[in-house]
This record gives sequence, C-alpha cells and structure tokens, in this order.
Amino acid sequence: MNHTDLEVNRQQYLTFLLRDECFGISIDTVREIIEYGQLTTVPLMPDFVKGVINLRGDIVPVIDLSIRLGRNALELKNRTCIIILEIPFEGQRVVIGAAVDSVNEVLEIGKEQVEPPPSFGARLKAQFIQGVVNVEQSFVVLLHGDKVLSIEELASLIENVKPEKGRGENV
Amino acid sequence: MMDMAQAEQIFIEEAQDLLQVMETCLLDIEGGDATPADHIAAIFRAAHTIKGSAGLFGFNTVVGFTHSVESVLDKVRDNKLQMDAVLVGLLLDCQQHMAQMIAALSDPGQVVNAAQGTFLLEQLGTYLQAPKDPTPAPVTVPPAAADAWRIDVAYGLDVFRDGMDPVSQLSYLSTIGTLEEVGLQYQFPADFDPESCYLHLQLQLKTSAGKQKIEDVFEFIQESSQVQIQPPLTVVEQLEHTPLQPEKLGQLLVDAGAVTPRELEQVLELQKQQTHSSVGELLVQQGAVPTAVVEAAVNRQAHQEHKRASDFQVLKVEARKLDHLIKLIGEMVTAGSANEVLISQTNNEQLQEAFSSITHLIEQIRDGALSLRMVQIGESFSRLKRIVRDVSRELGKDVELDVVGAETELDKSMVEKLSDPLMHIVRNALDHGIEPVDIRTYRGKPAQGRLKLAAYHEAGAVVIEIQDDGAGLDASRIRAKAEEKGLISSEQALSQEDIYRLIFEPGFSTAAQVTNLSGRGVGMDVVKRNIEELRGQILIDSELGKGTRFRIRLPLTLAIIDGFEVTVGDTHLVLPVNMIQECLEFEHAELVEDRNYLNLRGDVLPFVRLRQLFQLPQPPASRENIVVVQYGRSRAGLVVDTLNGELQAVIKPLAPIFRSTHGISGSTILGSGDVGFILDIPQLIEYACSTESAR
Amino acid sequence: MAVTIERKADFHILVFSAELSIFSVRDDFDSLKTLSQEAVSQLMIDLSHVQDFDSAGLQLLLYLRQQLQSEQPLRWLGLDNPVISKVLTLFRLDLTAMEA
Repeated sequence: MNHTDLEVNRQQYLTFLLRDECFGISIDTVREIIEYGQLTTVPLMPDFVKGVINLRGDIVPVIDLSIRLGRNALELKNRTCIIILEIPFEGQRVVIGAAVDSVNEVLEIGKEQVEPPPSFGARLKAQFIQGVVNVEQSFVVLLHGDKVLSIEELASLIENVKPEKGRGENV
Repeated sequence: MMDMAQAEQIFIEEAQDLLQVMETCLLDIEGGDATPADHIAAIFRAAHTIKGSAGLFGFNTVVGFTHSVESVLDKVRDNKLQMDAVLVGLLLDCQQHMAQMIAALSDPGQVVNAAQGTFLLEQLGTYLQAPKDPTPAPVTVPPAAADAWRIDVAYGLDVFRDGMDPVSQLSYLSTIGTLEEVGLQYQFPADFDPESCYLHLQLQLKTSAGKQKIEDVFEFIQESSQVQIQPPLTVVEQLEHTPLQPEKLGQLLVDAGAVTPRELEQVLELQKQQTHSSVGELLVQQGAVPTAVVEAAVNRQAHQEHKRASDFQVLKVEARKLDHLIKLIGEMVTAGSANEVLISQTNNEQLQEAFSSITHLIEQIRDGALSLRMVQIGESFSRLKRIVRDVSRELGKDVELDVVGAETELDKSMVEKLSDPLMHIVRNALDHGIEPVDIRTYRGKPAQGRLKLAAYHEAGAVVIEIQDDGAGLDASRIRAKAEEKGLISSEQALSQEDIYRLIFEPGFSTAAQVTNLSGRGVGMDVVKRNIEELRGQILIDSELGKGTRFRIRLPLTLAIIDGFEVTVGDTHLVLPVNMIQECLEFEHAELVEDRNYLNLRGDVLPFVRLRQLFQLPQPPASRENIVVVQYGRSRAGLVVDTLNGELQAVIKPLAPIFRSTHGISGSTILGSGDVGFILDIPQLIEYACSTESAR
Repeated sequence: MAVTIERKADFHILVFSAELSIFSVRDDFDSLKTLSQEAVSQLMIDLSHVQDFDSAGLQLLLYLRQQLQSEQPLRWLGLDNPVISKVLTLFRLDLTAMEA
C-alpha cells in the first residue's frame, strides 16, 4: 500500500537540501535523523552506497541521495546528516539511510498546493517525483520515498554495477 | 484440569505423530532398510495406541478401521503372515486413510474417501480369514482366549476328604458364565488311593463376573490346591486405558481386575523373601496373571513414567518469546565483546580472568539458546520419501531415494519454508528428470533411477542437495524455449549456467505437456523466490544424459559464530574459526614465480589478496599475513594485513540491497562498535578463481 | 454296597450300586482289586443304578478306564443315566472313547 496515495488533505513532509535544491519526503517513512559519521565502507559497491552504520545494534546501509538522484556526490560537511527511513519491501519494512547535505523543517502541505512535476528541467526520473510545491518562493520537489529508495532497484543497480558478471546471479 | 477439546487436540497431534512413525517404518521395511521385527512391533504399537485412544474419545470409525489394521499387524507379529511388498503397500494405503480420518477430526474441510476406506477394509479382511480346520482341536492346554478367563485348578490330594467336590464348583461356574472349554486331567500314581484327589481341571470361562467372584468359588480349596485364575486379554486393553497416575505395578493390576488383592498380598509377602524378583515376575510365577497382562501393565507403567519424563522433555514455546530471548542473547554477546575490548586495555589481570569466565558462560548460553530453534532436516526429508514413493509409482518409474545428512540441523522456521521448494524440485526430478524404465535401459542406464537428498553444514551455511541421475537439462531446448517466450533475444550470449537459470523465470516450462503433478512448471520460479526469501541461493548443475543437481545454500541467519577477525586496510573481516587451518606471515620470498601460489611445506597453496579482491584503496601494510582456510577438500590462503584474534560474532544478515554480494555472507558488530563483514569462504574462493582466470 | 461283578454270557459286568461317591469308592476299589485277568478282557461297566455320583466316583471310573482298557475301549451300560450324564457333560467327557 503506497502511503503517498493516502486520501488526506494535508500531509507532512520532511524537507532537506542537496546542495541548493530543496526536496521533500513524506514523514510516514522517516524513522529518525542522525548525524553523519562512523560509516563503514562496504567493499565493491557503486559510489551511491556510502557504507553501513551501526544504528543501536542494527546494521543499516547508507545511500548518497545526491548520486542516486543523478547529481554529484555529497561533499561531507558538518551539517551533513542521514535520514533513516523504513521502506516496504516484500512484505517487510527495510531500514535504510539516505545521506543529505542538511535537513530543514517539516512542512504541512495540502494536496491542492501540490502541482504536477514539470515535464523537463527537473533532471530527475519522472517516477521519483510526486509533485512540486511552492513554499515561500522556494521550490520543493516532493519525492516518492519508496521509489527513490526502492530496495529492488538499488539491489539491481548494485548487482549490475559489479565488476564480475558472468558467474550469474546469486552464485 | 484439561477440557475435552484440549484433550482431543492432543490426541490428534499424538495420533499424527504415531501415523508418521507408522509411515516411516513401513517405508523402511519396503526399502529393505530395517530389521523388520522391531519395525513391525513399532507399527503395531502405533496402531494399537491410536485405536485405544480413539476409543476413549468415541471416534468409532477410527476405532473400527484401525482395529482391522491392528488385527492384520497382530498376525504379522505372530509370524502368521509375511510382510511382503503387497502387504506393505496395503498398509501404507491404510496409513494414509487413517491420516485422512484423523485430519478430518479437526478440519471439517478434510475429505475422507469412504469408498477407499471400504475397499481397504475388504483387502484387510482377506488377510484375516483363518483357514478352515476340519478336525476339532484336541483338548490340550489352550492359550487364553481373547475374552475368556483361564482357570487352572490342580486339586490337592485331600480335596475329597475335606468334603469338596469339583463337580459342584464346575456346576456353579456354569451358572455365572459360559464354559468355553473344559479339560480334565489326572495323574494316577501306582499307589492309587480312591479317596485322594488326583484331578487337574483347566477351564475357559466367559463371564462378566470379576475375578473376586470367580475366586470365591474355590475359596475352600485355596489352602489345599493350586488355583490359578487368569484374566482375559481384554483386560490388557483395559489396562492401557487406566487413567494416568503414578501407580505401582501391583496396584495397576488390581485396579484393572487382573489380580485380586489377596494375590497381590501373597506376592508382596513372597517378594520380601525373594527380593530380587519383581512383583510382576512373581505374579506370573504364581500364575495369577498371564505374562501378556503383566507386560501390558509394565508398558503402561513405563508409558506413565515416559510420559512424565517427556512432559518435561518437550515444551511448546511461543516462537515470539524465543526470538526475543535470542535477540537479547545476541546483544549480550555484542556487549560482552565491547567489554572485552575495554578490559583487555586495562592491565588488570584479575579483571581479565574474571571476565573470561563470563565470556565462557555467554558462549554456553548462546549455544543453548540457538539450539532451541534448531531442528533436524530429517523431518522434511521424511515427507519427501513418501512423495517419491507415491509419485514414482504413479508415473510408473522405479526410483530409489538416498538420504544423507538427515540429522543436519537448521532453524525451525526455515524447515517450514523449505518444504514447498523441496517438494517442487523433487517432483520435477521425478517428472522430468528421471526417465521411464525403458528409456533408461535403452540408454544403457540402470533401470532404477537414483534420487539423492543430502544436507550438510558449510561455514555458517546449510547446504541441501537434490541430485538425480536422469536426463539432465537440455541447454539448447531451454534456450530455444526462452527465445520463443521472449525472455531472451537470439543474439544474447549466455553461459551454460545462465541458460540453466532461465528455468527460474516465471512462466517458463519445457514440459512437452502439462502434467498434473508438477503443474505447468510454474513451481521453479516460486522455488527460487522461496529460497531467496530465506536469504539463500540456488545453484544448478547438470549434464545432458547424466543428471541434474540442485544445490540450495541457506545461511544460518540467527547464528552467532565463533569467528576470527582480520583487518585489511580499514576493513574488518571475520572468518569462521572452524574453517581456519593456520595463520602465517606472508613472505614474498616463498612465492612461486609471479603467480598467486604459495609453497606451503611442499604443497601448492593458491592464495587471494583480499585487498585486491575487495579493491580496497589503502596501500598494503608493511607486514602482511596469510590465513589458510579449508573448505571441503580445497585449501586456499587469504592475504590480510593484521590478525586480530577470536571473537563471538552475532551474524546480522546483510541488508537486502546487498543480496548479490560475493564473498560476504553477513555482517557483525565488533567489540569496538565497528562493523565487520563475515566472509563466505567458499564463495570467496570461487569468485577469486574466476577473477584469476579472467586475467 | 460296593460294586458287584455279574456274569452275563461272556461278559463280566461291573455293576455299580446306587452310591458311587467319596463314601463308596474305598470299598468299590477294594472289590475291584480282585478282578481276574480273564474278566478284564470281556468287561462291561454298568452305571444304570447309580444315584449319587460325585467327583470321587468319576475319578474312580477314570481310573478304571485307564487300568482296564486294552486294545479296545471299555464297554459301558447306563450312560444315559441322567445322574451320570449330567456330570459327564459338565466335564465334557466321553467315557466310551479310548483314554487319550
């Protein structure tokens, strides 16, 4: 069940920055926000996989959301943080982290405020975008969290970017 | 106090367990795997117990059917019938019918094939017909009839002089029941005295009167004569239904009406003198009860004790509670590691020693907790045995099933999820893999096909293999079908293994016709998905004309393993200790040419530089080490930077996005709080070899 | 009165009296000890006069049968005497058969 299909007038979105672009994601999937740090690199991963962290005993992968959205890699600064999300996958909720430049406020946005995404210029895959909204003259791109961080897609990407193909999958 | 519904539920579960025993024993006898005598006894006991218990609950159809089965089994037990292939087959069908009936007791949707039941009863009946005996049996010493009391009176010499008359006793007995058999014997000595009594009377009396009443008949000759009154064998059954209370044997027998209090008293007195004899033995000696009854009572006693003991042996535990406990233990292990790191940094030897005893305890608790969830895979294999037998018969194929490693343990939840995939694969092997007898013979293969199920542990994984010596996979046919279905294009270059893997694609089937056994081959993609849901992998190996082997690797997900930690650059890696043979310093001088081989005491040891393999950016350390690992019959060396010693690693499964990772089977949190990766040694070596050959 | 021995044609007939019980068996037995070998070969036993018959009496008859039967079974008279037949039926005995 896609939470973004909820028929409520007003939805809450966590907004965050990637460089100077502002994005929003429904807080339904957001578990917490933590400081960036203590990451362990995972060998042989494509560059959008920053590594894993020890989140109170759970080992959670962290994705560079900037790379994932087709932009340059994040530059790590002291405001860099990780949004911990729960994404549905095969009947379970998988915990995954998204690294971003900084996190802003939670905005309450009414359905009527959300406009369809522009057909070009957003430089993002159409299926990632829920819509766009204007808030105090700034332009917030609302993202489908479960598409951007689709476990299936991320897994496939990792699989295919691996240097040695030919042994076949899952060997 | 348990209510009826609960008791019924327990009966159903126990009956199902007993039916499983029956099935296994019958299959073993059929397969020629067993000493039939023991198995027959077990099968008989199972049927007998089910019948008795069903009777308690009034499940009369079950009782009726089982009674016939039991009667046939009884004849086999007495060597009056041979357990040949036909009879085994019939009994297996009966077992299945009984399973249906039992299942129907709790599941209204379960259909019981009544026509089949009638048919089976008829078949059983043909075994139960006694041959006609033209000559009447001589009046010798008959064994106790099923429901008649056996009375044996050896009259004392003075019986007549005491004023007693056997005629009146016999006469009286005929009024309280039916005299089935009467046998009078006598031994006249040379100095025959007509006033002495030399008579010996043996009777079989059918009566509803209790033992006491019968005994009273002989009250006045008890002193002078030897009177033995033995209860009918139906009392044996009665004994088996006496309520479960801790009872002494003697009391059990008295309660069941098999022994009178007087007899018991006598025997107990005797026991004081003959202390090495048991009450049961003495009662039999005194002729108070037939051996069969004592045996039944002893069994009942043992059953009670066993039941008491096993009440404590098996507990039903909520899985949720167990999971929680295991999670806590995992955290305790991690916390223990963290403490260990800190303590090792102090110079307090006493503290270190004290803590190591805690570590030891944690290890034991950990192992104990993990074993709670483990069950033997033999359970799953047993079900498959039955399927192999039934399906191969249906298909008219002759298939022998080999099972290896049934005692291999894996997590209970996995066993449940594995049964479907295993069944699909086995059915596929039977349906498409193993050829019909005539084709096999034509191809010069033995007429009997072989299907092998094997399970074993391998470095933190469980491997299950299903291997057949059938037709093998035809890569070109598979490829053609895949192209036809648009799954691949004709230009696509695929290795043979990749082609084999196409059979896991949804909607794929190479069956020329749809069979109702394995469906449209729709099983295979479901199989793959099921295995992946268990975070496992499935591999296919095949040779056209020779056979196919499916190999399923499953992680021991909840495992806490004994690991050995190494570092390569900034990366922490953990190896399972039981795969490590030795650790050495890595001296470049011992390299063979410029290849990745090492001369280890005369043997060639291939090695892998993990830094290279994992493309780790840091420059090599000045001193490197090599860990020699062994998997199966292969050995290899892993070149690492530092060796950091042993630890207990709580395996955290890799996040799903990492499912395709090679060489790493899980992650763990080290004592320092860092994340370490658990190496999958076999995979690693395999992967490294392919990299090596690609160069 | 104890058993008497009568002669009828070739036969020696043992005629038991009305009492064939614990009370008479001693005397009956003593009388029978005098049976000659010659008498034994052509013997009949007459039970038609018996009115009191018990196990001791039965035992004696069984003894006689065992002792006196030769190639052929003993011959009996009066087996239809209800006093006798009742007991024989009870014990499922057939005196006319050869002793097993």
